[in-house]
Amino acid sequence: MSRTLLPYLRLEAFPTPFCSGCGHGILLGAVVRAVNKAGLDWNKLLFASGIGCAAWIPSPHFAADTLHTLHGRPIAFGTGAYLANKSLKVIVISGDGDLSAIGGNHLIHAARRNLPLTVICANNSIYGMTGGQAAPTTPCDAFTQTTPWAGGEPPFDLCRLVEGAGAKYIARHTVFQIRQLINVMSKALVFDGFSFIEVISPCPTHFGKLNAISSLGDFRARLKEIYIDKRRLDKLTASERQNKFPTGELTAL
Amino acid sequence: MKRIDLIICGFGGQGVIFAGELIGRAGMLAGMESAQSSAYGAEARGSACSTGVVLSDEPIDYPIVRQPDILLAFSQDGYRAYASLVKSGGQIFYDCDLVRPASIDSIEQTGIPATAEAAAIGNKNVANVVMLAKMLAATEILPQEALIKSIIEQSSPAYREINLKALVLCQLCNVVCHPKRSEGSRLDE
Amino acid sequence: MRPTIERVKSPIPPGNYFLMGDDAAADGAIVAGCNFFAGYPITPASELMVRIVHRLKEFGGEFIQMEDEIGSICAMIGASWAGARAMTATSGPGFSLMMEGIGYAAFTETPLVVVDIQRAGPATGQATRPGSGDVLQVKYGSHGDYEIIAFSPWSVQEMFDLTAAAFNYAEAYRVPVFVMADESVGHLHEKVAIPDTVERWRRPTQPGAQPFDTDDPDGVPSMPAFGQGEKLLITGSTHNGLGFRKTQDSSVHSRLVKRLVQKIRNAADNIAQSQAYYTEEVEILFVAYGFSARAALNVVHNLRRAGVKAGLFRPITLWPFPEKALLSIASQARFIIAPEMNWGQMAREIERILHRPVISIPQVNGEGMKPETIFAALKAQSLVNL
Repeated sequence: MSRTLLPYLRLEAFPTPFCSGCGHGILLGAVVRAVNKAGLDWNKLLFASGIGCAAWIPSPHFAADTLHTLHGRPIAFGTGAYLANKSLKVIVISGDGDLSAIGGNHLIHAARRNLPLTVICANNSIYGMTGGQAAPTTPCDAFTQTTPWAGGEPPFDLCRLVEGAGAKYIARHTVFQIRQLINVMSKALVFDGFSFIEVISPCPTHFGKLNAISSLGDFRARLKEIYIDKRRLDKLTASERQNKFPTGELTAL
Repeated sequence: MKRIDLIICGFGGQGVIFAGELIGRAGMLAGMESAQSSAYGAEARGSACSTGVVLSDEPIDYPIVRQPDILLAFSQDGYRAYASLVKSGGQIFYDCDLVRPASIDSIEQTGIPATAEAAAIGNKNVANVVMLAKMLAATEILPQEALIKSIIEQSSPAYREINLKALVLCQLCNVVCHPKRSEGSRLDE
Repeated sequence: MRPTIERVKSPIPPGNYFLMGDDAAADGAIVAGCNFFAGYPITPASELMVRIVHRLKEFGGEFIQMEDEIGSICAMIGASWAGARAMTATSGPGFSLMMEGIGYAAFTETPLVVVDIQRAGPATGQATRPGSGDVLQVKYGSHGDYEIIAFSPWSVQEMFDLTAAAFNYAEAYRVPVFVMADESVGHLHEKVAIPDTVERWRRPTQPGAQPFDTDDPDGVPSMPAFGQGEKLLITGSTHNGLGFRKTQDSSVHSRLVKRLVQKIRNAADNIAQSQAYYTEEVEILFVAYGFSARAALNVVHNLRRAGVKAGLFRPITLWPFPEKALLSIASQARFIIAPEMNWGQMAREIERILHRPVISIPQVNGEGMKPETIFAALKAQSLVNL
């Protein structure tokens, strides 16, 4: 990491606890760069996170106010903090299970309410910290500890979920699209209203192991097949588009 | 210790609870201790409701009315539920267009056409104030200024004037209201 | 550390008001400086929320209706760390939903005030009817060991006074504080005297000090707010004084839990409040709280008129329970009677304190405690012959 970014980190908290090949470390660096690109004052940032691997991205690594909350509730905590001090920029960073399963209700209501919270959802399509159980984002054909024969339930498209709930700024990228990711995050951070960034992050330890994805390179190739630039995706036929998700800036109202 | 217990009963929408609050507040304004409690169903309108008011010279230990000295009844159901609880020597005031009273020993019962009088005054929603005014005139449990102040404090702006009008007309001017008094009489149901 | 104390003019004009208990609690909160309310509609607490919507508009503060009670308690915790004096009001089912958040608030030492207008439970129970079935839940409802402070108002004046006091205790001890009212008092109208001035205690704040540990004997660390450059690390996981997670360190965990418990237990004499009536010479001592205490006092008055040496001990704080005051009064009483609007929840706590049998008079019919219930029980026990 560039030395100029070191003041924004609690160096005593490093190295991170993330597994080798986990995408959350890349996201960690991308958030720091996006905050600086957006020109935000670190003393006025509040990073709220829930429970799970992704919730550890800001807490304790970021040298800012961090609120590591209950499972599923960082948006509710952040909503209260923002209302009590509107000079705060509240950034929620949490996982797909945290934000869309146990905390799904807070997510859609925050999108509806349109307070200027930025929610960054690190989506690895699985419950990593508890050992690899199915999430609301797990693809139907994926194996997990609780879908040991695959054939699980249909997954959420989180971007369309928050769009339906009223979110005005929505973007999705994988951690392998680092420049685009920093770009949309920096725009989300200064967006006047609720903003949502879905970040696709590989979990080689659990998702990879259970689904026989043997290397990070294979994982990257798999994600590249599923997550496709929205302009390219639009050109595909309906049958080709199945089980694929668009990336890029999806909504900017 | 002088403690007076009242119950006002009727249906939601008749201003029963409001009347209880008015008399409770009037008690406070008259320098007495007062407490008002209500019982009503989940529906906001149309279901049975009642309110109890305690007025006392001393701090009120138990604030709920079980046996009233005075009952104001705006509905037959309410009358049926509470009339038998009135203490011996107590008084019942009922809306004579809505309630057919029963015969009860050693209770003074007074029929008041409160809803009709209220309509004559200009709004049948002030039947509650008409009833309070008549009750106060008959029982003198509170000075009427206390009820006037209470109406001024408690009424919404839209109702302040007509509530006061109802009170003043009823208390000062028996020409408008003609309560059918039935003191000591035994009425058959 | 000690709170800072200031005396301010009441923002609500002083004088006598005729208020509903729920409304009085809202006004007590405003006078205490409440400037944040997050809530969700629930009978019989909704009136409080409706009142405070207007009050916060009038006197300045944020109101938000959340998507559920879980969201409410969490938003309050966020607001409290952003410097607000935060509160909510709820009842049984909503209170149950808040339990995880209450544990988080206790563990992160977050000041906040919850008014629980108790109703007849369990489950949805009788939504419009009173009960006192949450008095153990308030202390033990969240998992793990912690301490809280809980008040039990018996009048509309106390709805005002104790809600206002709850903010001060929450700030001074950095702890969630509860006003355990019930529908009987919440919907009762009585006189409320609002004073000219009130004391406001504020959480101790010392820049740079550890927010989650202290060597100060009172056990209350400094509490800064978000946005002050303190780079706060707040977590519901076990944490050291700076807030770093220490989830595998047994000494950090035991030090933290012990301090959270002891900061309240050691201050119990300063926090616990009670009132005693006719206890100079007493044979039959009622121990009753909240609305039940009013029925008990009515019974005491009647018994005294009949020449029976009856008295009433009324805990105003249920947690910490005023143990010393009860012990000093109870020693001379022959019988200890505990009427409650639940199946004898506090009776067992009273037995634990006194080490002697307590006659429990439970009433779980969805009604406010009645003097008749108490009389009938006394007769059944052959304690009175009236």
